[in-house]
Amino acid sequence: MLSGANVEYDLPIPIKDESETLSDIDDAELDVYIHNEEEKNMKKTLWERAYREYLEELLAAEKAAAAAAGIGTDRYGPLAKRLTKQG
Amino acid sequence: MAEQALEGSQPVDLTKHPSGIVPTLQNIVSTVNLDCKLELKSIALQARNAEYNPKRFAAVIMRIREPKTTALIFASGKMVCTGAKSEQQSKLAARKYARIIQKLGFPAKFKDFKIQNIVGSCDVKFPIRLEGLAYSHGAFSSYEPELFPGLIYRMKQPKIVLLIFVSGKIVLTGAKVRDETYTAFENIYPVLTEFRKNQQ
Repeated sequence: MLSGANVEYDLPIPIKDESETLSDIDDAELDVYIHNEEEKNMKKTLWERAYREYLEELLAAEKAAAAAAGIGTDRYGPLAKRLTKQG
Repeated sequence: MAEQALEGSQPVDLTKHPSGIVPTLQNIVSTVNLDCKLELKSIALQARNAEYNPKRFAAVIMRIREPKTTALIFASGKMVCTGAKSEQQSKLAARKYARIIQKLGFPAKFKDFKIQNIVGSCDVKFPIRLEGLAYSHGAFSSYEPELFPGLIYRMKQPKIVLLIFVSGKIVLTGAKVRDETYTAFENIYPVLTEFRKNQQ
């Protein structure tokens, strides 16, 4: 390994087009970045409350687009119901 | 055997760095294609290290501690990784982000990894007459001290932008491989010595 002041010489990384396996990455190290089920549900509630307006705008836009395209809006039912419950 | 000189406590290969100075890499920007559509809300809600403010910016911002980096993750599956100090670290970090995405339930791949930009910096340790340099190299220079204190030097070959400050500090940006950074610095070094400001 040849080094300069504060510099580490790394070999150029060959560019590969094919997908690489990521199996050598240490999973235990990355587990700290992932919420458990309870944390996930709590965060979901908080996030959806914080972005309620955004979600409503999104829903309205999707409904308008669906109407313009002549598509039924049933597929948006679950979100609409959820918003209605909270409202 | 390569001729060596001492720079700090590390030998510098003078055949490659005749100035005796090796720019330090400060930031690497890389991109990779995870090759699958991503639900950003799902990622943001499951990951502790993720921010997602869809009204502000249409990407999840994710950070990891080692290598200390920040990733921008888009619904298209494209990812940008910033903040690494070497090419190897940038790739390692990108692979960790990709692995996190896999663990969150997406069939992420790791395609077309590419280093997009390398930022380097160094200090020649003598003051520089920026006005003289700008006048003499007008075709490459932009120097507006009222707007920005550094001279902006757009080198053609390699295609690197340098910021040159009166203090002798130099920033080099735009490289895709580190040798472009090193070559650009060796190209500019004789110019800097030519416009060295003599102390009174």
